[in-house]
Amino acid sequence: MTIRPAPPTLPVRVTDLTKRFGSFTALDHVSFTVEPGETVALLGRNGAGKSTLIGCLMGFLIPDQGSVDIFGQSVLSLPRDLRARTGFVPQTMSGFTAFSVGRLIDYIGAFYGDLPPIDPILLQWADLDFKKIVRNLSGGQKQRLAILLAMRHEPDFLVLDEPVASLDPHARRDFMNLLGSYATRVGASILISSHILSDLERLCSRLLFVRQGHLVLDVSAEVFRTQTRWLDHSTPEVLHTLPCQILGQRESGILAHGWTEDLALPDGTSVSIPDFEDAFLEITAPREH
Amino acid sequence: MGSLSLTRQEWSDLWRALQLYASPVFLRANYLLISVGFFLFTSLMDLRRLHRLLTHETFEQALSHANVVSLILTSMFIQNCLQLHATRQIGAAQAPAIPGLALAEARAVCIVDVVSVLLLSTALSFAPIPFHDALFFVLFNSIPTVLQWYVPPQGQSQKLRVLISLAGGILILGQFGLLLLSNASLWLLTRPPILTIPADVCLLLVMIVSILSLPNRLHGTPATPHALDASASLKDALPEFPYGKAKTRARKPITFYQLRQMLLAPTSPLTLKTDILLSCLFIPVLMSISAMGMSLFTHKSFAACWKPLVFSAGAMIAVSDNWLTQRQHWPLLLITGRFGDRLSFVRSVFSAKLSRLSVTIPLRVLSLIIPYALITSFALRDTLLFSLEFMGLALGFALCGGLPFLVSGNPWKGVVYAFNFIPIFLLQTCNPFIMGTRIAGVIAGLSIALGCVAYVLAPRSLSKADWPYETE
Repeated sequence: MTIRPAPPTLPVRVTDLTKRFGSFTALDHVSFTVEPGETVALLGRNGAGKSTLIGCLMGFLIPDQGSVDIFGQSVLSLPRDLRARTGFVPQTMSGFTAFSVGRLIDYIGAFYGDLPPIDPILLQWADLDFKKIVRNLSGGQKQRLAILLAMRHEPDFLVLDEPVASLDPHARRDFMNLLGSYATRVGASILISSHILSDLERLCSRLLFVRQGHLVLDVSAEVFRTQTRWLDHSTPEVLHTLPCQILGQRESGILAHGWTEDLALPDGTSVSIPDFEDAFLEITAPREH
Repeated sequence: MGSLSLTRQEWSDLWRALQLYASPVFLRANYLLISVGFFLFTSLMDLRRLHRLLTHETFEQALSHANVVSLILTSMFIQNCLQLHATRQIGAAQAPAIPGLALAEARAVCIVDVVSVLLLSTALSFAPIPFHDALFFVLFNSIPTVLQWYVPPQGQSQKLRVLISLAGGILILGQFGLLLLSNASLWLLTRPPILTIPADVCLLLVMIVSILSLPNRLHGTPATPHALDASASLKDALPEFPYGKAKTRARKPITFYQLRQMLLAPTSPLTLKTDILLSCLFIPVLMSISAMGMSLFTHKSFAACWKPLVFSAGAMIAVSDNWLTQRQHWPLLLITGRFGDRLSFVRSVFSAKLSRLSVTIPLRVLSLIIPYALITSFALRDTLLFSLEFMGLALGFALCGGLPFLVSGNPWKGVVYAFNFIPIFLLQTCNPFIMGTRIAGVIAGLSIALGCVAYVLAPRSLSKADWPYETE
């Protein structure tokens, strides 16, 4: 086994990223970074631009403007040794249909050089018959194979695009635990897009909310939990003057980010903790431009 | 595309990718292999015949008696067969994230493709045909299928997919017309090296560049936002395009006839009009152009040039498509309830096919025979006999596509594919112009009988089988 050097300091830097498809702007001036060891959730409705962002992040799509750096290098000219430190789990596994599971694992693994044996915990979780042909696997089994292929070389930066959609609840729960312990053990940075909000809430240390191609909120999970509140008032307009970011609105009030216990609120304001799903729905709801 | 000098790791990647071609990974589920094998076998038989003819005939005479259809089809099917494997490997969603994989696979398929082309050319050179001419002939025949390397994967630009498929289709038809209805084969196989060697180099380079640039096209080109987010709602994107609603309002309800035509193929449900137009125009127009061209070069009359062309036009009558191999849309249409239970549904598919054949085959046959009869003052009785035999052959062969289902409800896709495409070759070799009306009549009778057996019995077997509902 080769001893690899410690990962470079900043796994991901996205600067002013814009991606258009004809007249449709899928990503509009998006900027963020992912720190070493961070587990970042990418949240947004269908068509918000999550997969486009992941496509740009992995170097599959060419940005119209801005840049994506992985481990300090442009993703579009990422050298092989740095590419080998990334891993990618697509929404659904495609291709490689004629391989047997065992042969595919060996074949793909060989592109990463001499790899140690597969982590037994990962292997146990995947629970795959190595002799089975890939095209004969069920949707969930294919997805477990895709996850195994992406994680077996223990990447320092792992991107997962809705990885659990086709997994059963047991496999999903176990995978989330596996991912958490993997991040801790390897010190890897993880970016995960999923619609299973409870999983993300539990696993992720940072949240990126994307709406209509815009990054509308980039916040640590802890700050989000402690500083996001529903503020309700009989005349909700008075709440608009507060030094908070308004993430959403309802008839009686606003969903405010930046709330603290010290914040001076107008008399008669009631404060409540939002449910994560409600907050997601508010933040990511489409708006008029 | 990568530089020419490879690192040790890249050599090792390439070697592993090449090894796949000698493993079950390549052979398994490559449904084109049977067709490649069949056409390769017939090509070798034809080359053997050509070799024998060349011992006592001039090249021109020998070629006029030999059949080149199998050679054209072999060149094309080799490309298609490799494309199927390569796009499964390079086109996989996770492929670009695996360091070196896409490039290694592209290099491997490139090597296998070039070696296959060279081997086929070498086989031709044993006929004997000069190697540079043989290579030129094989590469020329590969052009329409080389274009298929540029078809974007499912989910990416639909316009480009349609455009390239259309261009490829037109090129294939044009090429068939050119090679079957003119002396183009002779011309291609007798060019001087000063012309063919640079052309060989250029065509090989085009092929190599097309393949090596595949990873960039499959993963580097912009995809539509909906393709990237498979679950993306179209509705979300509509507010950006105010004409979207108007377009929806203008859409007419689909008729039951159109719905029935959808049973044949999901990608071309409404092409009956186009099919009729092509059937009526393609053969006479192409033959007229070829006859005019030949008349210009040979100074023979238009009629004299037209007459021999008809001997090579049989393949153009064949109706071959994927109606029994592309079945992903069946469950979706079955649950509409419009076609009854499973057996009624499959019977509807066969009846839709028969209704389509009963329109297009007579049109194709008549568009070949009527001009011939007019030009050569063919007797009415013979005209009728030839037409009936051609129709019988084309109809029988087209329905024989269902025969593999008599053995198994879910036969190997490659077998079904071969049964649907081999009729092109059969119609070219077993038609009344080549075999005479007696033998052709017997073959037509046999093919009709087999077609009827398939038409009556295959639906029952198919209705009891699992239907594929996912693409491989």
